[in-house]
Amino acid sequence: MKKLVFAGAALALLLPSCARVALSDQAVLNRTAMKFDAKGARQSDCSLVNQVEKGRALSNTSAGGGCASCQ
Amino acid sequence: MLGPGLAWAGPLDESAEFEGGSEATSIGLGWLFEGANRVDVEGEALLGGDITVLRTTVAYEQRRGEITLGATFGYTDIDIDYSPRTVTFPADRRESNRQAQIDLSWKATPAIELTGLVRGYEGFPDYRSVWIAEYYEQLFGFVPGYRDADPAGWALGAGAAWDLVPGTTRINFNLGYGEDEIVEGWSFGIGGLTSGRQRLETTSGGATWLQVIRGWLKMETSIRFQEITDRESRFQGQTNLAAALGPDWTLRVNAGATRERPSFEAHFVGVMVDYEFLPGWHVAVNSRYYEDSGEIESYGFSTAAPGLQAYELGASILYDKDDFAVRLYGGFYNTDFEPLTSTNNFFGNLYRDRDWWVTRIAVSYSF
Repeated sequence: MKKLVFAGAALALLLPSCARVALSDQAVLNRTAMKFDAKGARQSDCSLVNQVEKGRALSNTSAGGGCASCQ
Repeated sequence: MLGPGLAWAGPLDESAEFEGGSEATSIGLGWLFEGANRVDVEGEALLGGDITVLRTTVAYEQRRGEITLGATFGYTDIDIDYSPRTVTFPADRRESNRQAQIDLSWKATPAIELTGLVRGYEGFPDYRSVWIAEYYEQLFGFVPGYRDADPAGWALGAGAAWDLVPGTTRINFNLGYGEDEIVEGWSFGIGGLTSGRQRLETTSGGATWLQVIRGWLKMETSIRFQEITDRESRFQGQTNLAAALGPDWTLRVNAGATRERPSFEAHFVGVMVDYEFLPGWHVAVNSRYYEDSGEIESYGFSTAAPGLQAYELGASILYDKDDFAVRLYGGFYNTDFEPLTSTNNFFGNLYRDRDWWVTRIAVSYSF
């Protein structure tokens, strides 16, 4: 699992080295499922599972607080 | 909710759902809704048999020229069938959480956007804090000096987004600070009843790099840190890939890792495939896997969660055409905790393996 994550990170750093994008690509790049910051109905995740998976969400504004175990 | 760098100029406009913003209506309060407006209404449920979490969120955004203003209100209802292994007694408990957030962003130049947000909440933020509060209340609620749990918190955030290569490369930076009144831990000793820390302060920050790799492939990579009172810094790296596999097929892949010294580690991956089977109609299937090493335990008695493995399988149907979109999602979610130790065995039923159902319905309308 750890290796998979690190391999993904390495790939992510290498892939973007030579981006060439034509105006005709707009339609594809703007597909709903291609957007990372889609909101409301256009985003697909259910945020409630973050109540269980404490290592997944790392918000830039909220504390991990809420319970005594966060000490 | 708005993230730093909401607006994206050029081919990568990530917030294109704003497009088609209507002309202001000329009657009455029409001036209030000049510009491009969007309303999102969402309902989510996490159903685990003895634990039920329901959340409703309403969000509104308005873009007027270079300024985008957003407001989000959320209400969460948490219902647990408290069932201890020892000492305390079974109980039904229901709590709620109310949250509000205001976001503001300003496109200072064609390539730079500045963002800010303020957020506040009142009430129990998750089902685990309700469970732990019930435990302490039953154990020490009758002892002079005990205070009922009353969680609340606020946070401020600021960020900047830079279109390094317009339409191809964008970089975001953001910082945040927040304070939370938490469900404190209690113990009874020679000095009588004493409580643990009541307030946590959190400083956080991060950078996100959004990159178009090909006309059919783009990537978002982020690194974040978080520092919470009395704890070591927590770091997270995460990558998302989006690939158009054909005229109607889209693949999304996500992988990330989190680390906090001395011993907390989490890893997660996810895959989603989206298929547009009719114009505007999408069906998507997704799968996620998560594992962590268990929360870091303080000495002696502990409420910390043991190691966790979890996976989710789900499917959704989306109608998205013009200014209107609606999505219905359903998923199965399994959580498998590692065995507890003598320090946290009191919470054996909180941290027991569960099968959950996850559902979500969301509607978005732009005008």
